Amino acid sequence: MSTVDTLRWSVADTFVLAGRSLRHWRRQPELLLLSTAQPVLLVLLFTQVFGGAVATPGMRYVDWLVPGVLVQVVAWDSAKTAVGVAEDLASSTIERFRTLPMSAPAVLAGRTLADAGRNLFVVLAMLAAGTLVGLRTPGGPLATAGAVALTVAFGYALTWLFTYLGLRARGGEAALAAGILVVFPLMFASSALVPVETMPAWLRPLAAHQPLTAVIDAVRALMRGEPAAGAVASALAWTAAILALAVPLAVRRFRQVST
Amino acid sequence: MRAAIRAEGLRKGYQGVAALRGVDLEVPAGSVLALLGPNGAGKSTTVKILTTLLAPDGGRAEVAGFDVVRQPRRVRAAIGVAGQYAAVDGRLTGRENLVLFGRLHRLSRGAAARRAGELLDRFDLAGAADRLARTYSGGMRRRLDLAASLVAHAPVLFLDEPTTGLDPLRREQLWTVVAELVAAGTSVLLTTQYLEEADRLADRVVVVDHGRVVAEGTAEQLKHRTGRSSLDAAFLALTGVAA
Repeated sequence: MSTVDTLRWSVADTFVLAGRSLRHWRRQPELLLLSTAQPVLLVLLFTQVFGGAVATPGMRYVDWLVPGVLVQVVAWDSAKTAVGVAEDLASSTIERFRTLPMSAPAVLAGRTLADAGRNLFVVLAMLAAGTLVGLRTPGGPLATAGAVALTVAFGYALTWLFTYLGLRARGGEAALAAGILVVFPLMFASSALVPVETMPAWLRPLAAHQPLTAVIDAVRALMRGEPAAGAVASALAWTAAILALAVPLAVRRFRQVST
Repeated sequence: MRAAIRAEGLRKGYQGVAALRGVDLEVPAGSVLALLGPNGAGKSTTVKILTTLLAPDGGRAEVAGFDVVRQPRRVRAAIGVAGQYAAVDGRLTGRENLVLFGRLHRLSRGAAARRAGELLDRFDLAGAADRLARTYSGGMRRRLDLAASLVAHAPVLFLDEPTTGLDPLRREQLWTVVAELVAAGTSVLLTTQYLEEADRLADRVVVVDHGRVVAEGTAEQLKHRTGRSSLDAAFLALTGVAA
């Protein structure tokens, strides 16, 4: 088989397997609904509860918060990928797939693609909820679409990282525990909920120079219509770096555990 | 006659423990070989190597004329695998499971749908075709699993303890299906703990124990050689589990 054929089949297999994941959700619409309701609730709660207490210089809190929660939730949802991968691995599903003449990385690529689709859905729902509580996007629809794309792309990179974790973990629960351990510090020691400047001195440099903060700052700048080129470049660099690290790790690990 | 499966001197160790210590076997095209042995004898390891899931430490094997190590993709295109764990996706319907396997076997959307329909009819699953597979009974899951392994008309079939946990009626039904497949020219490697199953289905029996082939022949030959009247007793005599 030529390289072009191999690539074509890998893409085809990826879409077939992404379709499998999408069908799972269609079978459990309540699951998709609930996992969308949670982030929406977060947006509503955070703006109402923290809105009076957190000072965000030169900005209304809702405009500060929504970009932060968007990225937080996408990071959190990406951690769930680890659970799905670990469960597939624990059942004999993946072993059975490996006896088929299909592309091996497509098993992972299909899942991460489907998860990116889910993330897009959740992000749009949260934006709608944010608009309800007064979110304004002076950056305009194009910049906002860019912010959504950036958030989903970052989430896609993270799902590959969590795919790798899921392949290392023993079972779904262990994978979830490991995922939380990685994702919680990133979620909260970031500019998502409060400005980094309000954090203690030892934490500030860490919070300022981590991927979530980079993406959140870029999303915020895009939605507010501020100059965003530098922030976007930094966010894209993080996204690319995570992909460059996590994809080969996950694929290699997959070949190890599935043969 | 060309061999559907040929293995020579297969060796495999797990962390210093030898699981296979030189296994030879041959399945002539269109015949059924039963791999018999107690738990831990090396049956699963042999099947994993022959289905390209595991690389051997030594020896070589060909399936449908392709080398399992150097041409794994060609091997995978020629085999069907069904087993005791019935690796069907419980969150998809029976029909969706079969279409998924068809698509991953490179069938077009239409061809995969047609093939799924044929197999659902043949395995008496048409009535449950659009129900989620997790609502299926054990026997239905096993039939769906076997159907999935036949999606691509594989000439070589691996059945890893296909009837473990099935009631006698369901076992009988599955045996009938396998016999039909063989009559149509499919070659089968079957692992089983049920000697009756080997007696019923297999042209030849290979008995493995501690990673080695300890006996091989037709069921009749094995009974004769050990002077036992049933394959059960012959098996026990050969593997030294009991006198």
